[in-house]
Amino acid sequence: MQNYAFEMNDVSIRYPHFKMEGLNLSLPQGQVMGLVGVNGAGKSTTIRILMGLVKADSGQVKALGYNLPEHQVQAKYDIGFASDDMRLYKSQTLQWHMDFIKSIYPKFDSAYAADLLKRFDLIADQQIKGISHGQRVKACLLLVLARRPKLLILDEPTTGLDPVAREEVICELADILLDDERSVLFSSHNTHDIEKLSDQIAFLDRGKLLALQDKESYLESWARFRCQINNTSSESVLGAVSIKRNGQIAEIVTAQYSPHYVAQLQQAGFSVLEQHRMSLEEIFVANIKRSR
Amino acid sequence: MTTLFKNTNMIKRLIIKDWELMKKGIAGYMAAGIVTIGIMGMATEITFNVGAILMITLLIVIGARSAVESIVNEKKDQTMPFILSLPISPQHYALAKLLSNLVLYIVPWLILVLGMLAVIISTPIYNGVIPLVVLVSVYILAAYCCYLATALLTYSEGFTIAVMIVTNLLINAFIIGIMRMPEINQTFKAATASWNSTSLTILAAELGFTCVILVLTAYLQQRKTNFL
Repeated sequence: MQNYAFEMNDVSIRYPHFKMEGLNLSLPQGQVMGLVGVNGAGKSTTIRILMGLVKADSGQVKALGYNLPEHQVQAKYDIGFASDDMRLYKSQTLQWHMDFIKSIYPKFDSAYAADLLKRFDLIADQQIKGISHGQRVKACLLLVLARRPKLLILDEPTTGLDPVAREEVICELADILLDDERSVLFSSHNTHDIEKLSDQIAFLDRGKLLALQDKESYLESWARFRCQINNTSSESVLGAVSIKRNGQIAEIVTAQYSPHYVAQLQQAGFSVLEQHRMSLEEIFVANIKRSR
Repeated sequence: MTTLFKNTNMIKRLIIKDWELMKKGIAGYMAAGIVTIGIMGMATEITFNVGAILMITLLIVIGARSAVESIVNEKKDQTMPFILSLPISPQHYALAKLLSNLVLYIVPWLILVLGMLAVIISTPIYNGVIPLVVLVSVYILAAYCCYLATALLTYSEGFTIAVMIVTNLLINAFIIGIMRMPEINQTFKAATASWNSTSLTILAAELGFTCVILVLTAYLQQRKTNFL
Protein backbone atom coordinates (compact mmCIF):
# COMPACT_ATOMS: atom_id res chain seq x y z
CA MET A 1 0.00 0.00 0.00
CA GLN A 2 1.32 3.43 -0.98
CA ASN A 3 2.12 5.80 1.88
CA TYR A 4 1.33 9.41 1.26
CA ALA A 5 2.96 12.45 2.81
CA PHE A 6 -0.32 14.24 2.28
CA GLU A 7 -3.67 13.58 0.67
CA MET A 8 -6.32 16.10 -0.30
CA ASN A 9 -9.58 14.52 -1.39
CA ASP A 10 -12.38 16.46 -3.02
CA VAL A 11 -11.36 19.68 -1.27
CA SER A 12 -13.47 22.75 -1.95
CA ILE A 13 -13.28 26.28 -0.66
CA ARG A 14 -15.02 29.42 -1.79
CA TYR A 15 -14.07 33.07 -1.34
CA PRO A 16 -15.87 36.09 -2.82
CA HIS A 17 -13.51 36.19 -5.83
CA PHE A 18 -11.99 32.74 -5.84
CA LYS A 19 -13.19 29.18 -5.66
CA MET A 20 -11.49 25.83 -5.55
CA GLU A 21 -13.73 22.88 -6.23
CA GLY A 22 -13.05 19.20 -5.79
CA LEU A 23 -9.27 19.37 -5.56
CA ASN A 24 -7.60 15.95 -5.39
CA LEU A 25 -3.90 16.10 -4.74
CA SER A 26 -1.60 13.61 -3.05
CA LEU A 27 2.13 13.23 -2.65
CA PRO A 28 3.74 9.81 -2.14
CA GLN A 29 6.31 9.76 0.66
CA GLY A 30 9.84 10.65 -0.37
CA GLN A 31 8.77 12.57 -3.47
CA VAL A 32 9.21 16.23 -4.39
CA MET A 33 6.14 17.89 -5.88
CA GLY A 34 6.32 21.20 -7.71
CA LEU A 35 3.08 23.14 -7.49
CA VAL A 36 2.95 25.51 -10.44
CA GLY A 37 0.47 28.26 -11.16
CA VAL A 38 0.17 31.95 -11.87
CA ASN A 39 -0.54 34.42 -9.06
CA GLY A 40 -4.01 33.72 -7.73
CA ALA A 41 -4.09 30.15 -9.05
CA GLY A 42 -4.70 28.73 -5.59
CA LYS A 43 -1.20 27.58 -4.64
CA SER A 44 -1.10 29.45 -1.34
CA THR A 45 -4.68 28.48 -0.52
CA THR A 46 -3.78 24.82 -1.10
CA ILE A 47 -0.77 25.18 1.18
CA ARG A 48 -2.72 27.04 3.87
CA ILE A 49 -5.31 24.26 3.89
CA LEU A 50 -2.47 21.75 4.23
CA MET A 51 -1.03 23.71 7.16
CA GLY A 52 -4.42 23.89 8.89
CA LEU A 53 -4.44 27.68 8.60
CA VAL A 54 -7.56 27.69 6.47
CA LYS A 55 -10.47 25.29 6.92
CA ALA A 56 -11.81 23.94 3.64
CA ASP A 57 -15.57 24.16 3.13
CA SER A 58 -15.65 20.46 2.29
CA GLY A 59 -13.36 17.53 1.56
CA GLN A 60 -10.75 15.58 3.47
CA VAL A 61 -7.17 16.59 4.15
CA LYS A 62 -4.52 14.34 5.69
CA ALA A 63 -0.86 15.08 6.29
CA LEU A 64 1.53 12.43 7.59
CA GLY A 65 -1.51 10.35 8.52
CA TYR A 66 -3.18 13.08 10.58
CA ASN A 67 -6.55 14.56 9.72
CA LEU A 68 -6.38 18.32 9.21
CA PRO A 69 -7.14 20.78 10.57
CA GLU A 70 -8.23 18.78 13.66
CA HIS A 71 -4.82 17.17 14.35
CA GLN A 72 -2.61 19.90 12.96
CA VAL A 73 -0.66 20.24 16.19
CA GLN A 74 0.63 16.66 16.03
CA ALA A 75 1.21 16.90 12.26
CA LYS A 76 3.15 20.17 12.52
CA TYR A 77 5.81 18.55 14.70
CA ASP A 78 6.93 16.79 11.51
CA ILE A 79 6.06 19.46 8.94
CA GLY A 80 8.47 22.25 8.08
CA PHE A 81 6.89 25.26 6.42
CA ALA A 82 8.48 28.34 4.87
CA SER A 83 6.87 30.93 2.63
CA ASP A 84 7.87 34.12 0.88
CA ASP A 85 5.62 36.13 3.19
CA MET A 86 7.20 34.68 6.31
CA ARG A 87 9.27 37.07 8.40
CA LEU A 88 11.30 36.67 11.56
CA TYR A 89 11.34 39.02 14.55
CA LYS A 90 13.39 42.03 13.47
CA SER A 91 14.54 42.96 16.96
CA GLN A 92 15.98 39.50 17.65
CA THR A 93 18.98 37.60 16.33
CA LEU A 94 19.02 34.39 14.33
CA GLN A 95 20.48 32.69 17.42
CA TRP A 96 17.41 33.76 19.43
CA HIS A 97 15.19 32.21 16.75
CA MET A 98 17.24 29.00 16.77
CA ASP A 99 16.96 28.77 20.57
CA PHE A 100 13.21 29.41 20.33
CA ILE A 101 12.72 26.65 17.74
CA LYS A 102 14.99 24.30 19.71
CA SER A 103 12.80 24.76 22.79
CA ILE A 104 9.79 23.53 20.79
CA TYR A 105 11.20 20.74 18.65
CA PRO A 106 12.93 17.92 20.55
CA LYS A 107 14.46 16.70 17.27
CA PHE A 108 16.13 20.06 16.48
CA ASP A 109 19.59 19.19 15.17
CA SER A 110 22.01 21.83 16.50
CA ALA A 111 24.99 20.38 14.63
CA TYR A 112 23.06 20.46 11.37
CA ALA A 113 21.93 24.02 12.14
CA ALA A 114 25.56 25.03 12.68
CA ASP A 115 26.48 23.37 9.38
CA LEU A 116 23.67 25.18 7.55
CA LEU A 117 24.75 28.43 9.16
CA LYS A 118 28.14 28.03 7.43
CA ARG A 119 26.72 26.80 4.13
CA PHE A 120 24.23 29.64 3.98
CA ASP A 121 26.89 32.13 5.06
CA LEU A 122 24.75 33.47 7.93
CA ILE A 123 25.80 35.10 11.20
CA ALA A 124 23.93 33.76 14.22
CA ASP A 125 24.36 36.88 16.35
CA GLN A 126 23.20 39.32 13.70
CA GLN A 127 19.86 41.02 14.27
CA ILE A 128 17.24 40.04 11.70
CA LYS A 129 16.56 43.70 10.84
CA GLY A 130 20.11 43.99 9.49
CA ILE A 131 20.00 41.08 7.06
CA SER A 132 19.09 41.05 3.37
CA HIS A 133 16.02 39.40 1.84
CA GLY A 134 18.16 36.52 0.53
CA GLN A 135 19.70 35.96 3.96
CA ARG A 136 16.25 36.05 5.54
CA VAL A 137 15.01 33.35 3.17
CA LYS A 138 18.06 31.25 4.04
CA ALA A 139 17.52 31.90 7.76
CA CYS A 140 13.91 30.70 7.47
CA LEU A 141 15.07 27.58 5.62
CA LEU A 142 17.71 26.91 8.27
CA LEU A 143 15.10 27.10 11.03
CA VAL A 144 12.85 24.73 9.12
CA LEU A 145 15.46 22.23 7.94
CA ALA A 146 17.22 21.85 11.29
CA ARG A 147 13.97 20.40 12.71
CA ARG A 148 14.45 17.48 10.27
CA PRO A 149 10.82 17.55 9.12
CA LYS A 150 9.33 14.55 7.34
CA LEU A 151 7.30 16.85 5.10
CA LEU A 152 8.69 20.14 3.88
CA ILE A 153 6.24 22.69 2.47
CA LEU A 154 7.78 25.66 0.69
CA ASP A 155 5.50 28.38 -0.61
CA GLU A 156 7.31 30.52 -3.19
CA PRO A 157 10.57 30.48 -1.23
CA THR A 158 12.61 32.00 -4.04
CA THR A 159 10.27 34.89 -4.86
CA GLY A 160 11.99 38.26 -4.79
CA LEU A 161 15.50 36.84 -4.65
CA ASP A 162 18.19 38.11 -6.99
CA PRO A 163 19.46 35.46 -9.46
CA VAL A 164 22.59 34.70 -7.43
CA ALA A 165 20.72 34.25 -4.14
CA ARG A 166 18.07 32.18 -5.90
CA GLU A 167 20.69 29.89 -7.39
CA GLU A 168 22.32 29.48 -3.96
CA VAL A 169 19.02 28.60 -2.33
CA ILE A 170 18.07 26.17 -5.11
CA CYS A 171 21.47 24.46 -4.98
CA GLU A 172 21.24 24.04 -1.22
CA LEU A 173 17.70 22.74 -1.51
CA ALA A 174 18.69 20.27 -4.23
CA ASP A 175 21.42 18.99 -1.92
CA ILE A 176 19.06 18.71 1.00
CA LEU A 177 16.41 16.97 -1.07
CA LEU A 178 18.74 14.03 -1.69
CA ASP A 179 17.31 12.62 1.53
CA ASP A 180 14.89 10.01 0.17
CA GLU A 181 12.79 9.96 3.32
CA ARG A 182 11.82 13.59 3.07
CA SER A 183 8.73 14.60 1.11
CA VAL A 184 8.55 18.11 -0.30
CA LEU A 185 5.80 20.29 -1.69
CA PHE A 186 7.35 23.25 -3.45
CA SER A 187 5.16 25.99 -4.87
CA SER A 188 6.40 28.57 -7.30
CA HIS A 189 5.48 30.48 -10.40
CA ASN A 190 9.13 30.17 -11.35
CA THR A 191 9.13 27.08 -13.53
CA HIS A 192 12.95 26.89 -13.69
CA ASP A 193 13.08 26.18 -9.96
CA ILE A 194 10.33 23.60 -10.20
CA GLU A 195 12.02 21.90 -13.14
CA LYS A 196 15.28 21.61 -11.22
CA LEU A 197 13.86 20.25 -7.98
CA SER A 198 10.67 18.31 -8.57
CA ASP A 199 9.83 14.67 -9.19
CA GLN A 200 6.18 15.50 -9.79
CA ILE A 201 4.48 18.48 -11.32
CA ALA A 202 1.05 19.78 -10.35
CA PHE A 203 -0.44 22.59 -12.42
CA LEU A 204 -3.05 24.75 -10.77
CA ASP A 205 -5.09 27.45 -12.42
CA ARG A 206 -8.07 29.32 -11.02
CA GLY A 207 -8.45 26.77 -8.26
CA LYS A 208 -8.45 23.78 -10.61
CA LEU A 209 -5.81 21.10 -10.99
CA LEU A 210 -4.90 21.08 -14.66
CA ALA A 211 -2.31 18.32 -14.49
CA LEU A 212 -0.57 16.06 -11.99
CA GLN A 213 2.18 13.85 -13.34
CA ASP A 214 5.77 12.82 -12.80
CA LYS A 215 8.11 15.42 -14.23
CA GLU A 216 9.99 13.29 -16.76
CA SER A 217 6.96 11.77 -18.46
CA TYR A 218 5.17 15.11 -18.29
CA LEU A 219 8.00 16.94 -20.06
CA GLU A 220 8.26 14.12 -22.58
CA SER A 221 4.57 14.31 -23.40
CA TRP A 222 4.81 17.87 -24.71
CA ALA A 223 6.41 18.90 -28.00
CA ARG A 224 6.27 21.74 -30.49
CA PHE A 225 6.42 21.25 -34.27
CA ARG A 226 7.06 23.73 -37.03
CA CYS A 227 5.25 22.42 -40.09
CA GLN A 228 4.68 23.25 -43.71
CA ILE A 229 0.99 23.54 -44.48
CA ASN A 230 0.00 21.57 -47.59
CA ASN A 231 -3.14 21.70 -49.64
CA THR A 232 -4.31 18.55 -47.92
CA SER A 233 -3.73 19.88 -44.37
CA SER A 234 -6.69 19.37 -42.12
CA GLU A 235 -8.00 22.04 -39.75
CA SER A 236 -7.32 20.03 -36.61
CA VAL A 237 -4.92 17.34 -35.48
CA LEU A 238 -5.62 14.71 -32.85
CA GLY A 239 -3.75 15.55 -29.62
CA ALA A 240 -2.88 19.11 -30.65
CA VAL A 241 -3.15 21.64 -27.86
CA SER A 242 -2.77 24.57 -30.25
CA ILE A 243 -2.25 25.19 -33.94
CA LYS A 244 -0.93 28.62 -34.91
CA ARG A 245 -1.00 29.32 -38.63
CA ASN A 246 1.16 31.95 -40.27
CA GLY A 247 1.01 31.83 -44.06
CA GLN A 248 2.21 28.38 -45.15
CA ILE A 249 3.78 27.64 -41.77
CA ALA A 250 1.99 26.18 -38.76
CA GLU A 251 3.24 25.80 -35.21
CA ILE A 252 1.62 22.83 -33.56
CA VAL A 253 1.88 22.06 -29.85
CA THR A 254 0.89 18.67 -28.49
CA ALA A 255 0.55 17.24 -25.00
CA GLN A 256 0.41 13.66 -26.35
CA TYR A 257 3.83 13.35 -27.90
CA SER A 258 5.15 9.93 -28.90
CA PRO A 259 7.57 8.89 -31.65
CA HIS A 260 4.52 8.19 -33.81
CA TYR A 261 3.22 11.73 -33.56
CA VAL A 262 5.27 12.92 -36.57
CA ALA A 263 3.55 10.28 -38.72
CA GLN A 264 0.21 11.43 -37.33
CA LEU A 265 0.99 15.01 -38.39
CA GLN A 266 2.00 13.84 -41.85
CA GLN A 267 -1.23 11.90 -42.13
CA ALA A 268 -3.07 15.11 -41.27
CA GLY A 269 -1.33 16.78 -44.22
CA PHE A 270 1.50 18.62 -42.45
CA SER A 271 5.18 18.33 -43.38
CA VAL A 272 7.27 18.55 -40.24
CA LEU A 273 10.15 21.03 -40.65
CA GLU A 274 11.37 21.22 -37.06
CA GLN A 275 10.60 19.47 -33.82
CA HIS A 276 11.35 20.91 -30.36
CA ARG A 277 11.09 19.68 -26.81
CA MET A 278 9.39 22.23 -24.60
CA SER A 279 10.62 23.73 -21.37
CA LEU A 280 8.35 23.63 -18.34
CA GLU A 281 7.78 27.35 -18.75
CA GLU A 282 6.54 26.88 -22.33
CA ILE A 283 4.34 24.00 -21.22
CA PHE A 284 3.04 26.10 -18.35
CA VAL A 285 1.99 28.94 -20.67
CA ALA A 286 0.46 26.55 -23.23
CA ASN A 287 -1.41 24.70 -20.52
CA ILE A 288 -2.84 27.88 -19.01
CA LYS A 289 -3.92 29.15 -22.45
CA ARG A 290 -5.56 25.82 -23.22
CA SER A 291 -7.51 25.83 -19.97
CA ARG A 292 -8.90 29.34 -20.38
CA MET B 1 -10.60 21.25 25.09
CA THR B 2 -8.51 18.06 25.42
CA THR B 3 -6.11 19.30 22.75
CA LEU B 4 -5.79 22.56 24.66
CA PHE B 5 -4.44 20.73 27.71
CA LYS B 6 -2.12 18.70 25.48
CA ASN B 7 -0.76 21.92 24.04
CA THR B 8 -0.24 23.99 27.19
CA ASN B 9 3.52 23.74 26.78
CA MET B 10 3.36 25.43 23.38
CA ILE B 11 0.97 28.10 24.67
CA LYS B 12 3.41 28.71 27.53
CA ARG B 13 6.30 29.00 25.06
CA LEU B 14 4.44 31.65 23.08
CA ILE B 15 3.65 33.63 26.23
CA ILE B 16 7.34 33.53 27.21
CA LYS B 17 8.25 34.56 23.66
CA ASP B 18 5.98 37.62 23.88
CA TRP B 19 7.50 38.50 27.25
CA GLU B 20 11.02 38.26 25.76
CA LEU B 21 10.01 40.51 22.88
CA MET B 22 8.33 43.13 25.06
CA LYS B 23 10.28 43.12 28.30
CA LYS B 24 12.54 46.07 27.43
CA GLY B 25 9.58 48.27 26.58
CA ILE B 26 7.70 47.24 29.71
CA ALA B 27 10.79 47.95 31.85
CA GLY B 28 10.94 51.45 30.35
CA TYR B 29 7.27 52.07 31.10
CA MET B 30 7.68 50.78 34.64
CA ALA B 31 10.55 53.22 35.17
CA ALA B 32 8.31 56.03 33.89
CA GLY B 33 5.57 54.76 36.21
CA ILE B 34 7.86 54.94 39.24
CA VAL B 35 8.79 58.54 38.36
CA THR B 36 5.07 59.35 38.00
CA ILE B 37 4.25 57.79 41.38
CA GLY B 38 7.11 59.86 42.81
CA ILE B 39 5.51 63.04 41.40
CA MET B 40 2.17 62.05 42.91
CA GLY B 41 3.93 61.34 46.19
CA MET B 42 4.99 64.99 46.51
CA ALA B 43 1.45 65.24 47.83
CA THR B 44 0.51 68.74 46.69
CA GLU B 45 -2.70 69.23 44.74
CA ILE B 46 -0.82 70.24 41.58
CA THR B 47 1.72 67.39 41.64
CA PHE B 48 -0.98 64.84 42.43
CA ASN B 49 -3.15 66.02 39.53
CA VAL B 50 -0.20 66.18 37.13
CA GLY B 51 0.88 62.72 38.28
CA ALA B 52 -2.65 61.38 37.85
CA ILE B 53 -2.83 62.68 34.26
CA LEU B 54 0.59 61.22 33.52
CA MET B 55 -0.44 57.89 35.05
CA ILE B 56 -3.65 57.70 32.98
CA THR B 57 -1.59 58.45 29.86
CA LEU B 58 0.99 55.85 30.81
CA LEU B 59 -1.59 53.12 31.46
CA ILE B 60 -3.20 53.85 28.09
CA VAL B 61 0.16 53.86 26.28
CA ILE B 62 1.25 50.55 27.83
CA GLY B 63 -2.01 48.92 26.69
CA ALA B 64 -1.91 50.45 23.23
CA ARG B 65 1.68 49.39 22.68
CA SER B 66 1.02 45.89 23.92
CA ALA B 67 -2.01 45.33 21.63
CA VAL B 68 -0.44 46.93 18.56
CA GLU B 69 3.05 45.53 18.91
CA SER B 70 2.20 42.02 19.93
CA ILE B 71 -0.93 41.39 17.86
CA VAL B 72 -1.43 43.88 15.02
CA ASN B 73 2.27 44.09 14.17
CA GLU B 74 2.62 40.31 14.20
CA LYS B 75 0.23 40.30 11.26
CA LYS B 76 1.64 43.48 9.68
CA ASP B 77 5.28 42.43 10.03
CA GLN B 78 4.39 38.97 8.71
CA THR B 79 5.83 37.09 11.67
CA MET B 80 2.47 35.35 12.10
CA PRO B 81 3.13 32.70 9.38
CA PHE B 82 6.37 31.84 11.22
CA ILE B 83 4.50 31.25 14.48
CA LEU B 84 1.57 29.46 12.85
CA SER B 85 3.98 27.06 11.14
CA LEU B 86 4.85 25.77 14.63
CA PRO B 87 2.88 22.98 16.31
CA ILE B 88 -0.01 25.15 17.40
CA SER B 89 -3.51 25.60 16.03
CA PRO B 90 -4.66 29.13 15.13
CA GLN B 91 -7.18 28.91 17.98
CA HIS B 92 -4.49 28.09 20.53
CA TYR B 93 -2.30 30.82 19.06
CA ALA B 94 -5.11 33.33 19.64
CA LEU B 95 -5.58 32.03 23.18
CA ALA B 96 -1.83 32.38 23.82
CA LYS B 97 -2.01 35.95 22.53
CA LEU B 98 -4.99 36.74 24.74
CA LEU B 99 -3.26 35.32 27.82
CA SER B 100 0.14 36.87 27.13
CA ASN B 101 -1.38 40.28 26.53
CA LEU B 102 -3.47 40.08 29.67
CA VAL B 103 -0.46 39.06 31.75
CA LEU B 104 1.83 41.62 30.12
CA TYR B 105 -0.71 44.36 30.74
CA ILE B 106 -2.31 43.36 34.03
CA VAL B 107 1.02 42.92 35.87
CA PRO B 108 2.32 46.47 35.12
CA TRP B 109 -1.24 47.85 35.54
CA LEU B 110 -1.54 46.21 38.97
CA ILE B 111 1.92 47.37 40.08
CA LEU B 112 1.22 50.96 39.00
CA VAL B 113 -2.29 51.07 40.50
CA LEU B 114 -1.07 49.57 43.79
CA GLY B 115 1.82 52.07 43.71
CA MET B 116 -0.65 54.94 43.34
CA LEU B 117 -2.81 53.61 46.18
CA ALA B 118 0.26 53.18 48.38
CA VAL B 119 1.21 56.83 47.73
CA ILE B 120 -2.31 57.99 48.57
CA ILE B 121 -2.40 55.97 51.78
CA SER B 122 1.10 56.94 52.93
CA THR B 123 0.90 60.70 52.19
CA PRO B 124 -1.46 63.49 53.33
CA ILE B 125 -3.52 63.05 50.12
CA TYR B 126 -7.22 62.50 51.03
CA ASN B 127 -7.90 58.76 51.07
CA GLY B 128 -11.43 59.58 49.91
CA VAL B 129 -10.04 59.81 46.36
CA ILE B 130 -9.26 56.05 46.33
CA PRO B 131 -12.63 54.92 44.84
CA LEU B 132 -12.22 57.41 41.98
CA VAL B 133 -8.65 56.22 41.31
CA VAL B 134 -9.77 52.58 41.33
CA LEU B 135 -12.80 53.21 39.08
CA VAL B 136 -10.76 55.15 36.54
CA SER B 137 -7.99 52.53 36.58
CA VAL B 138 -10.50 49.71 36.04
CA TYR B 139 -12.09 51.76 33.22
CA ILE B 140 -8.66 51.89 31.55
CA LEU B 141 -8.34 48.11 32.01
CA ALA B 142 -11.80 47.58 30.44
CA ALA B 143 -10.91 49.91 27.56
CA TYR B 144 -7.67 47.96 27.06
CA CYS B 145 -9.69 44.73 26.84
CA CYS B 146 -11.89 46.37 24.16
CA TYR B 147 -8.98 47.16 21.86
CA LEU B 148 -7.24 43.90 22.73
CA ALA B 149 -10.41 42.11 21.56
CA THR B 150 -10.54 44.24 18.39
CA ALA B 151 -6.89 43.53 17.63
CA LEU B 152 -7.35 39.78 18.17
CA LEU B 153 -10.52 39.48 16.15
CA THR B 154 -9.56 41.70 13.23
CA TYR B 155 -5.73 41.97 13.27
CA SER B 156 -6.48 45.38 11.80
CA GLU B 157 -4.44 48.41 12.79
CA GLY B 158 -7.22 50.75 11.64
CA PHE B 159 -10.00 49.12 13.67
CA THR B 160 -7.78 48.77 16.74
CA ILE B 161 -6.74 52.42 16.64
CA ALA B 162 -10.37 53.47 16.10
CA VAL B 163 -11.44 51.58 19.25
CA MET B 164 -8.49 53.10 21.14
CA ILE B 165 -9.55 56.61 20.13
CA VAL B 166 -13.19 56.03 21.08
CA THR B 167 -12.39 54.48 24.49
CA ASN B 168 -9.82 57.18 25.24
CA LEU B 169 -12.28 59.93 24.34
CA LEU B 170 -14.88 58.31 26.57
CA ILE B 171 -12.52 58.34 29.54
CA ASN B 172 -13.09 62.10 29.97
CA ALA B 173 -16.86 61.60 29.88
CA PHE B 174 -16.50 58.73 32.35
CA ILE B 175 -14.43 60.81 34.83
CA ILE B 176 -16.72 63.81 34.56
CA GLY B 177 -19.77 61.56 34.89
CA ILE B 178 -18.67 59.81 38.07
CA MET B 179 -17.31 63.04 39.60
CA ARG B 180 -20.77 64.58 39.21
CA MET B 181 -22.36 61.77 41.16
CA PRO B 182 -23.05 63.12 44.66
CA GLU B 183 -22.44 59.69 46.25
CA ILE B 184 -18.89 59.83 44.93
CA ASN B 185 -17.85 63.49 44.89
CA GLN B 186 -19.03 64.15 48.44
CA THR B 187 -16.47 61.67 49.78
CA PHE B 188 -13.42 62.97 47.90
CA LYS B 189 -12.05 64.91 50.79
CA ALA B 190 -12.83 62.27 53.40
CA ALA B 191 -9.94 60.94 55.46
CA THR B 192 -10.85 57.35 54.58
CA ALA B 193 -11.94 55.68 51.37
CA SER B 194 -15.69 55.38 51.24
CA TRP B 195 -17.08 52.55 49.13
CA ASN B 196 -20.81 52.99 48.78
CA SER B 197 -23.38 51.17 46.66
CA THR B 198 -22.88 53.56 43.71
CA SER B 199 -19.12 53.13 43.48
CA LEU B 200 -19.39 49.38 44.06
CA THR B 201 -22.06 49.06 41.34
CA ILE B 202 -19.88 50.95 38.85
CA LEU B 203 -16.90 48.76 39.77
CA ALA B 204 -18.94 45.58 39.36
CA ALA B 205 -20.26 46.81 35.99
CA GLU B 206 -16.72 47.56 34.79
CA LEU B 207 -15.42 44.17 35.88
CA GLY B 208 -18.46 42.37 34.46
CA PHE B 209 -18.06 44.19 31.12
CA THR B 210 -14.36 43.28 31.03
CA CYS B 211 -15.15 39.59 31.65
CA VAL B 212 -17.87 39.56 28.97
CA ILE B 213 -15.47 41.11 26.42
CA LEU B 214 -12.77 38.55 27.18
CA VAL B 215 -15.10 35.53 27.11
CA LEU B 216 -16.72 36.76 23.88
CA THR B 217 -13.31 37.28 22.28
CA ALA B 218 -12.19 33.76 23.20
CA TYR B 219 -15.49 32.34 21.90
CA LEU B 220 -15.39 34.21 18.57
CA GLN B 221 -11.73 33.26 18.05
CA GLN B 222 -12.56 29.58 18.38
CA ARG B 223 -15.16 29.94 15.61
CA LYS B 224 -12.80 31.48 13.06
CA THR B 225 -11.91 29.25 10.10
CA ASN B 226 -9.52 31.45 8.21
CA PHE B 227 -6.18 32.74 9.44
CA LEU B 228 -3.39 34.66 7.76
